[in-house]
Amino acid sequence: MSADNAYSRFVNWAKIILPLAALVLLSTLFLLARTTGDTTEIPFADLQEITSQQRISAPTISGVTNSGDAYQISADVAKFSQEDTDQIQIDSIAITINSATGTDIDLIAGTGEYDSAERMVALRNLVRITTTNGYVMETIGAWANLGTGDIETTGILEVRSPFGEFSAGHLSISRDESGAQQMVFNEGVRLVYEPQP
Amino acid sequence: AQTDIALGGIQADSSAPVEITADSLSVDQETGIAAFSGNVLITQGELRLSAGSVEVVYDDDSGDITRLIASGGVTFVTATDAAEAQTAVYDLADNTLNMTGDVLITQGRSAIAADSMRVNLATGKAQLDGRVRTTLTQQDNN
Repeated sequence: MSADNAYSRFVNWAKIILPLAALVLLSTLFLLARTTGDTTEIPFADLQEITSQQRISAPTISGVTNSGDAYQISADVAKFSQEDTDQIQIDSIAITINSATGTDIDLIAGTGEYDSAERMVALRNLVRITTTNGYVMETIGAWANLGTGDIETTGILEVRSPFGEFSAGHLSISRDESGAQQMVFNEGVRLVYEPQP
Repeated sequence: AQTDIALGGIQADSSAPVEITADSLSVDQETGIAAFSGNVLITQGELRLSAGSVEVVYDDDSGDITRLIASGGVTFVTATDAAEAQTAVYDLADNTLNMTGDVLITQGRSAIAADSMRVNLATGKAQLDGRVRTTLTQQDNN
């Protein structure tokens, strides 16, 4: 019945070998599978801390001040204090205030306390304030009032400005009656300017 | 009338660092104008210029201060002379000081009044304009 020629013999052998090969392939599939990544274990101590208080990681809070400047607060971690839910403790806080008319102001600090009722942010441990018109100021602490958009420093400042570096006792950034944003450094300002030859 | 005098004791080298101290400095964010106010004192080498308020005119991209516009009563003191005026423009670029508004220069025993004075800080030469009046105080030798 079966014509005994090479082709038929080939087909008969194929009918046996191919399924076997398939079976071998299939079985090794699961042997060589990549091991899945190790599960990220959270150390128990952190677990204790995480669950003990409400916290958000990488939060952003945005809004608009009364004078129309849009602000955005971003941070690594925000923790809500138990007693007063308006108080938010923020680690490595960054605030950006884009004012409609004037320049934009960026504040970064080690920690910040945001009082959402008063819309005030207290910034601490090395506050750096940068404005788009070329001023970079560093101080130890500052207040940002997100209601009015005013900023007030609590420590002496070192300032790099478009025309040289100077130190000042205090800085307050606010809008004057005509709405123009003013930066006033007071309590003593000292600039040393090196004229380029 | 225009007279030239020499202000002694000026060795203003325009490359010496300029130090400005004041009570406060205010910067208008929109216009970028920066103005020191509150007993402002500018010192460069031997020169001392004190004024009520000083506006800083600087070149935006290079950051060089080109002019200091002092107003609110200016006194300019060198090692030997002193000059007072209402306003003054200290031009760092061409190293000149331009004082205007009832200028009074005291040199030793004589005092010279004028409407404006232009001092070349490199040479110490000063050029006075307007009603120039010199008063010499007699040596009282009694």
